[in-house]
Amino acid sequence: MSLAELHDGQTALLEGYEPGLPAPWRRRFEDLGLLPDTPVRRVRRAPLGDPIAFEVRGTFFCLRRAQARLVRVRLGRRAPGRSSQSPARGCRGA
Amino acid sequence: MTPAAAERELGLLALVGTPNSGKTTLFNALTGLRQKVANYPGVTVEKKEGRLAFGDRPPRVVDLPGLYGLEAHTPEEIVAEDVLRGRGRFGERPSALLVVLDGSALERSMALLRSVLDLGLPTAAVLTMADEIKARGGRLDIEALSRELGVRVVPVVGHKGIGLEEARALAAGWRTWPLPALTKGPLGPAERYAWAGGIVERALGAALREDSRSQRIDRWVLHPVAGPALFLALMTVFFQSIFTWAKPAMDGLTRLTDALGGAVERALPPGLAASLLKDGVLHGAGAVLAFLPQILILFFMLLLLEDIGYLARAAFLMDRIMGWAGLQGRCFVALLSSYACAVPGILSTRGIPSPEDRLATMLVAPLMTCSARLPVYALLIGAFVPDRAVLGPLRAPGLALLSLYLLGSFSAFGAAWLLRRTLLTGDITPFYIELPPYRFPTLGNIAVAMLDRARIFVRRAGTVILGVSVFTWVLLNVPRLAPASGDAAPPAAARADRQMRYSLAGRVGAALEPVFRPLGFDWRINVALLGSLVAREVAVSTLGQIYGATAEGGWDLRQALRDGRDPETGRPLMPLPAALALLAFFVYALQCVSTLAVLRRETNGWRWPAFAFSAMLACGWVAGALTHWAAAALLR
Repeated sequence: MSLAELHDGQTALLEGYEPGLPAPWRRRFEDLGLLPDTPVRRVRRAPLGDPIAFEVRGTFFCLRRAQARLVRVRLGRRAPGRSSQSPARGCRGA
Repeated sequence: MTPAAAERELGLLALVGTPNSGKTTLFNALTGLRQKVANYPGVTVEKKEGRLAFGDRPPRVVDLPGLYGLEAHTPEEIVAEDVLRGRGRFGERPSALLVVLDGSALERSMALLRSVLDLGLPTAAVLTMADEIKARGGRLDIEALSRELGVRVVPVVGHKGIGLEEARALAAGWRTWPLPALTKGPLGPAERYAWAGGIVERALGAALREDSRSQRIDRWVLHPVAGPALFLALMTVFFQSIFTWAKPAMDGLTRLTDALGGAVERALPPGLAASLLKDGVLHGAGAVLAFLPQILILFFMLLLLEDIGYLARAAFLMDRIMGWAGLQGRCFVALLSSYACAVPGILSTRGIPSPEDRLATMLVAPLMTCSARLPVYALLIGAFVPDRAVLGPLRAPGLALLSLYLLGSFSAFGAAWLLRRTLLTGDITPFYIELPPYRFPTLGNIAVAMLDRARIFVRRAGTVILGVSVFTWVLLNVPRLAPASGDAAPPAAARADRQMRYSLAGRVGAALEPVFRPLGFDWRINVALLGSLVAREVAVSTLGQIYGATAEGGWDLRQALRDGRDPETGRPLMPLPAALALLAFFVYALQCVSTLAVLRRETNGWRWPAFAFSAMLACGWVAGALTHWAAAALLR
C-alpha cells in the first residue's frame, strides 16, 4: 500500500519508493532517515485534505497526497523496546 | 605578512547543520553583532559571515546554509556542499568545521556529522537544544558522546544562553581539534543511521522518547476546526496591529514633524529656505519615519511566529488554498511578509524550490498592501469617507480600508493564478515542508533581525525618499513666477497655486493631463503621482505641498483635499471620483524603487521588474479609470 492510504495515527514500515518519485526526493527521504523497515506514522491531514503530516524518527514533515502515493509501505508495528529506531542490522563500526 | 595571508592564518570556521537546528542562534552567539550578510557570487543564496567574538586571534565564522546530507539539490545546498568540498566556486574551503547537533533530532544530526567527518577536516560539534535530551528521558553524558563520535562536543541551550561562552572558547581553539579518525569510508544513509542509533543508545541511555509537547500543541494547531480558527485569530491580530496599535506612534511622530515644521517657520524668515526645510525635508522624511513603528511591529510578529515554529504550520494549513492559485504553502509566508514590505517578502521566496512558483510569488508580492500605501489610504479615506457607522460597530472608514486591503490581496491571488496559467506554466511541484518542534523564541535573534530591518528602512528614508522629496520640492518651485504687484494682486493661496502650475513639475503634470483625464486627475494629482512612482510615501508629502499651499488659515491636509477649491474656477480641487480613482490606482501600481531593485537582483535581469512595473501601472490606470467612471455615474 502507499503512504497516502494510511489513516490518522497509523504507523507503517517503509518498503520502497515507486519509480515515479524523482531521485532527489528519494535521497531527501533517506537523509531524513526514512529507510527500509523504518516506521513512519501519519499524524493528520490538513483541514482541506492536503497536504498530509507524517512523522519519522521524531521528525515531522508534510507531503502532498500525490507524492505520498509514490511511497510504498506495509503495515506493521515498531520493533518492541525501541521507540524511533530502525532495527539495526550489523554495521556498527565507523 | 600580507593582510590576506594574515587573514588565512586566523582561519575560517564553517557552521554545518540541518535546517532548524539552532544554527542561527549559535552563529549570533559566536559572532555577537560582528556579522555581515551578502550574497554568494552569482546566486541568490545568502552568505552570513562574521568574526568570532572571543580570543585575541579570532577566526572568521561562516554560517553555511542548512543541509540534510552532502548530496545537494537546492541552490542553498549546492553552495554549502561546494564550500565544504573546497571546489572554490563560492569561496575558500574552511579550515575547520563546527557541526551543529540538534538535540531534538539527534540521529539525523549525527548522520549528517558522519558524512561531514568524511571530508577530513578538523571537526568539533555543538549540541543545541541540549535540554531536550533530558526532557525526553535521556542522560546527557557529554564525555561518552564525545568519545563515541570522535569529536569534542559542547552542549548549549540557545534560548537560555547556557553554554554559549564555552562554545565560543571551543571555536577559538579550532587549531587543537583532531582530524577525524575513521575506520571506514563514506557510509550510505542506512549505515549512517545505524551508526548514529548505536551511539545514541550507548552514550545517552535508552532511545529518546518523542517530543510529546510539540505533538500535544499540534493536536490543536493542526486540528481541522481549531487549527483554522487559531490561524484566523492570529491573522486578525496581525492586521489589527496595522490598523490600531501603530497609530499612536504614527500620530506622535507626525505631531513631532509638524511641531518641527512650525519651529522652522518661526526661526527662519519666510522664503525658499524655510519652505525647503519644512516641506521638502521634514514632511518628506517624516512621512516615512512615521510608520517605522508599524513596520517593526509587523516584523516582530512575523519573526516571533517563525521562531516558535508556527509559520511552517501556517504553510501546511494554507497549502491547498495556495494551490488554487498555482502556488504552494511556503508562498503564503512570503506574501504575508509583504504586508509589511514587499522587499523582505520577495527575499523570503528564496526557500521556494519551484522556479515558477518563486517567480510568480515575487511578481505578485507588490500587490499585497504594503505599509507604504497606508499613509496614502489613511489620508484619502480620512478626507473623503465620512466617519459613520455602517453595520453595527463597523464604521465606514474602517470598512473602506479593509476593502482596499482585500482588493490588493485578491488581486495578488488572481494575478498569481493568471501567471501560472499563462507565462509561468510548469509542473505543479511536489510540496515538502518540515514541521520543526515548537521552541521558545530567542528574543536576541529577533532583536538582531529587527535592528537590521530598521537600519535598511531608515537608510532608505534618508536617501531615496528624502532625495525625491527635495527634488520634487525643487521642481515645484522653479522657475519662479514674477511677483504680481498692485491692487490686482491675487490672494496668497491663489498665487501659490499659480506658482506651482508655472513650475517645472506643474508643466509636466499638465502635459500628462490627457493621459490621466479618464481617471479624473488634474495636473496637481499628476505631480503627486509622478513623485510617488519612486516611493509611495512621497505622495503624502507632495500632496501636502500642493494642496497645503492653497489652503487658508488653520491647515489640515485632509480638510484641504476635501474643501480646496480652484482659485480661478471655484471647482473642487479633488473631486470625490478622482480621490477614489487615486485610491484604486495606488492599489495596483508598482511604486517603489526598492522593490524594482530587489526584483532585478533576484531575477538577475531587468526583464521581470520592467514587466511588473508596466503591467501594474496599466492595471492601476484601468482600475482608476473604471473607478472614476463608476463613481461619477453613481454620484450624478
